[in-house]
Amino acid sequence: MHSVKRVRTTAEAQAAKKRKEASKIIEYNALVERVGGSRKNEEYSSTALQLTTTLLKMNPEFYTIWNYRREILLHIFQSLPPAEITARLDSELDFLFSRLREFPKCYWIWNHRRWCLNTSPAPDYARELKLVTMMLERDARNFHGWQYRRGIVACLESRDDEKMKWDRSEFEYTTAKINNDFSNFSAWHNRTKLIPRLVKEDPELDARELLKKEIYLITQAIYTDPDDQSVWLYHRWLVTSSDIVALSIAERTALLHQEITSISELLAVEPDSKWCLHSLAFYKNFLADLTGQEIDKSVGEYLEKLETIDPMRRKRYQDWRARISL
Amino acid sequence: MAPKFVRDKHIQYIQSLDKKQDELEYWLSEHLRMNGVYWGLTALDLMGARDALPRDKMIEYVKSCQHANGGFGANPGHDEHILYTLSAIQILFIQGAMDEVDADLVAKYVCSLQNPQNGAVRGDLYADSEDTRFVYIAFQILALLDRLPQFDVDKAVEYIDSCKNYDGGYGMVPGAESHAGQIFVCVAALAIADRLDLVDRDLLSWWLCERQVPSGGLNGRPEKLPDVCYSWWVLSALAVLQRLDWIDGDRLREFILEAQDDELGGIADRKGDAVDVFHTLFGIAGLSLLGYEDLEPVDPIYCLPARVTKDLKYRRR
Repeated sequence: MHSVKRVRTTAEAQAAKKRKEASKIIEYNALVERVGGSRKNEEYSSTALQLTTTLLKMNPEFYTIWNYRREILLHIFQSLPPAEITARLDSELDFLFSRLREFPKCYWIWNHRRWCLNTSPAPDYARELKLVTMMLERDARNFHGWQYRRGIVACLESRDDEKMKWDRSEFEYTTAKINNDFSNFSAWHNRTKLIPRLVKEDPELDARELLKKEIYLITQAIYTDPDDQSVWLYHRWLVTSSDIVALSIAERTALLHQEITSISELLAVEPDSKWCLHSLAFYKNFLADLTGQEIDKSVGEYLEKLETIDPMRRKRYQDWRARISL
Repeated sequence: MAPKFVRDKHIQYIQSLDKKQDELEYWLSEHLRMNGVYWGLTALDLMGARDALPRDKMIEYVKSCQHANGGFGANPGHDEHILYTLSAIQILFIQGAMDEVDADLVAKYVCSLQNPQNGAVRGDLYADSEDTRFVYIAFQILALLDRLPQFDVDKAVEYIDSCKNYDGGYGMVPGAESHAGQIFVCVAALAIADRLDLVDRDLLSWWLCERQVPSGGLNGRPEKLPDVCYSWWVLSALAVLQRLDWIDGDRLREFILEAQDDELGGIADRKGDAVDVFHTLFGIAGLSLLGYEDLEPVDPIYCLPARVTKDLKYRRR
C-alpha cells in the first residue's frame, strides 16, 4: 500500500464498515468463483469475456483473469477476419485506457496493452504515442509510461522509411519535457539513450556541435536549480563520457577547464551549494586522472566542506579523501 | 529521539493477517498471498519468531499452489508465475522443507522462461514481459534448488549488463531508467553469478547514497518521495557493494521506526500511512542490515535470514 493514510476509527465505525463490506465480499467472491468455473469449463464466449471485464474492473491486479481474457480473445479471433480482429482489439484498448487512468502503475494493464498491440493485425502506434503522451502529462515520471513510450517509438522507427524520424521527434519531446521542468530525471535519462543513437545513425549530425548545445542547455538548468541532482547527473555524463563524441585528451581537458570555471562562478554566488562543491571535486579529480597531473589541493577542501554540509554522506567523502590522500 | 521498535506488536500484526476475511481488501489482495506469506515469515524469522505461524499448514498451503509444470501461483486457483514461484521456494527454504518439492520440475519451469536469444527472463509462460527482476528471481530459485548450472547464466548476465545506464544504475529492460528496485535485483543477480566486476562500484554507490533525503528516508529515483521499502532495495545493494556506511544509518533507522504503527504493529511506507506486510518486512530487513534492534542478520543478496543461506554455494560479498 502506498500513500494511504492511517486512520483510527471507533469500534462502531469499524463494525459499520465491515457490515457494508460484507455484501461486497459475497458479490466479489461469487464473481471470482463464476469466472474460475467458466475457465475450467473452457468457455470462450462473449459472455465469459464480459465476466472478466466486470471482475477486472473490480480488481485489475488479478493477473490470472488477464490470462483468461487473452485465451477468450484468441479463441474468438479464430473465426474473425483481420479487420474485425483489429476492431475488437481497438475496443480492448479503450477498455484498458479507462483502467490505466484509474491504475496508472498496474503492471498487468500495461502488459495486456502490449499484448494487444503485438496481436493486432494493424496496430495503430500513432494513437498509442498520443495516449502515452497524455499519460506522461498526468505523471511525468511514470516509468511504465516511459517504457511503453520507448517501445512504441521503436516500432514506429522500424516501420518508417525515413531513418531516425521518430528518434529525432522523441529528442524534441524530451526537450519540451525538460523545458517544462528541468528536474525531470526520466527525460534526461531518455536523452542519454537517444543522443548516441542519433549521432551514430545520422551522418549529417555534428556531434561536437550537439555536445556544445547540450552543455548550454544543462548549464541553464543548473543555474535555474543548483540543488536538483538530475541535472548534475546529466552534466557529469556530458562532461566525462565518450557516448556522444570521442574527444581528444586536449579537447576533453579544455571542456573540463571550461566547466570548472563555470561551476566556480556559480559557487561564488552559492558558497554552500553541495552540488557545486561535489562537481568541482569530481571534475578536478577527473582532470588529474586524465592528465596524470597532481590533484588540485582545493579538492581536499571541497570534500572537507561537503562532510559538514552533507553529513548523511560523510563516510563517502572521507573514503574519497583517503583514496586521493588529501 | 527515535521511537521504540515494537517487536511484539509486529509479531501480533503478522499473525493477525490471516484473520481478516471480513475485510474486502483481504480478498482483493489474493494475488499477493504467496508473497505475503514469504514477507510475513521472513519478518518473523528476523525477529526471532519463526514459529509464530503454523509451519505444517504453511507448507501444505504452498504445495496447494503448485501447478503441474512446476510453477507456483499466488493462491490456489491462480496461474503460475515466477514471482510466486520464488516466494514459494523461499518459504520452503526457510522452513527447511525443500524435500517437499520436486527440485528438477521447478528448475525446468524456471529454465523454460529464459529467452535463449538474449538471455532475458519473462515472468510466465502466458504473456508477461521480460524484466531484470525475473533474471534475479530465476538465479535465486535455481541457487536455492542447487540447480543453477542448468541455466544459461552467462547469457543472463550479458542481458543485465545491457540494462546498465550512464549513472551506473540498472533499469527494467535495456533503455529503461535506473530505479533502486531494479538496481537491487541486478546487483544481487550479479553477486549470485559472481560477476560484480561488471558493476561500476563507485558510480553506482554514489547514486545509491544520494537516495537518502533530508527526512532520513530513502527514495527509489531522484526527486521522488522516500519510502520504507527502499530501506531494503537501496541498502541491500549498498551492502553487496560494501558501501553501507555511505548513508546515515541512524537517520534511516529513525525514519523506519516513525513509520511503525506503535499501537497495532506493522510498518507503513512512511509516517502516518496505513501499514502492510510488504513494508513491515522491508523496514525490518533494513534495520537488520544496519545492525539495529537486535534482529537476526539478513542476507542482502537473497533477502532471507543469513542463518539459512550461509551454506549456499552461490554468493559473493
